[in-house]
Amino acid sequence: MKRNLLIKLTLAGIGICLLIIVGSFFIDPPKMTEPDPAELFNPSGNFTLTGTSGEPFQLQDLRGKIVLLFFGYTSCPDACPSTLAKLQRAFNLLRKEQIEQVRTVFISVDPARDNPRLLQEYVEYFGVNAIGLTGTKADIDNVVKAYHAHYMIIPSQTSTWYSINHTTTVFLHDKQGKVRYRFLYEETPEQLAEAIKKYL
Amino acid sequence: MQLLSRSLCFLSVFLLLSIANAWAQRITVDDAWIRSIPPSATTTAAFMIIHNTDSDDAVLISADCDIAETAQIHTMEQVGEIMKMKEVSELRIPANGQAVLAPKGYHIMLIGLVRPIQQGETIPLSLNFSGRATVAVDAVVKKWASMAPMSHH
Repeated sequence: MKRNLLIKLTLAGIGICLLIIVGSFFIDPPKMTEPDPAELFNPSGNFTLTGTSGEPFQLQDLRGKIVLLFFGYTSCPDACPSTLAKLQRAFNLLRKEQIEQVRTVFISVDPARDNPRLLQEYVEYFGVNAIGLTGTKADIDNVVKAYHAHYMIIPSQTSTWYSINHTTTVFLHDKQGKVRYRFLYEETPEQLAEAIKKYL
Repeated sequence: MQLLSRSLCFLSVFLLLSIANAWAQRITVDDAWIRSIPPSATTTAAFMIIHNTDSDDAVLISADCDIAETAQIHTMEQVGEIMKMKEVSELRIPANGQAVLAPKGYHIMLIGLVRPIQQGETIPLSLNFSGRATVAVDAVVKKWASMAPMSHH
């Protein structure tokens, strides 16, 4: 009799275990909630700065395009040209009609030196459907803040020239203006091209 | 006799020149290039590999370039998502070693270009070392894409 009970208990135990295992397939595992970049970085999906012809520019003017946005300055010796070079390599991995749907937005964090003409010539030189943006320091700072980016002017010890330490991340916006992907400096053009294709 | 002393004199000058030449060549430079920039931009960077075959360290203390108002030695460092650039007062090239000046690291900043630079042209630079002869370098202006190293994973 006792033995019978033991078998029943064992079977019941196995049954409960099976139920838990099978059941677990139907219940979503607890997710590590990753912050949504669209809510963290420029959640409004808009800002206003000045284009290189002096006209006001709004990010929402580019709805329907994938926007690759980053901060820099035209005297940047390395990070900005390297990033633009990477963008070009990524563009080379896309078809012509895909490239048509992508715009690069280069926001100058150096309004004192980057005049519109220089900015326009600089962004065009790299041929990545780029728009150069400038504005007052206050306006630029607001945009920098909205993207949780940073920059700092570093004076030279030996001349009046200064360099600028700045965030190098490229923010990929989908066609609705939401930040979907942050392209870090060490990432490859292939990774960026894949990310662009995902949101075309 | 006169002929002998003349020959000796000639020989010693020759020897001195050879020694000076050999000494100077202990610092050599490879792959010097300058990043090409749009015509109205006035700042760029020069990159190269400096070899030191001497048994003493060599210390680069400054550089000169005729077409730039200022040339400075800089280094870069990626800290988190921020690229930080810093002017340095010297760059040490270890004995029997080399210093690599390349994107994302050390470079010579050419500030205040007095004229636009053309892709493919050669620009002379002078490297000034502490207690050593100046080294002349010919740097080629290259399109940014051709040399910009990409990280691979």
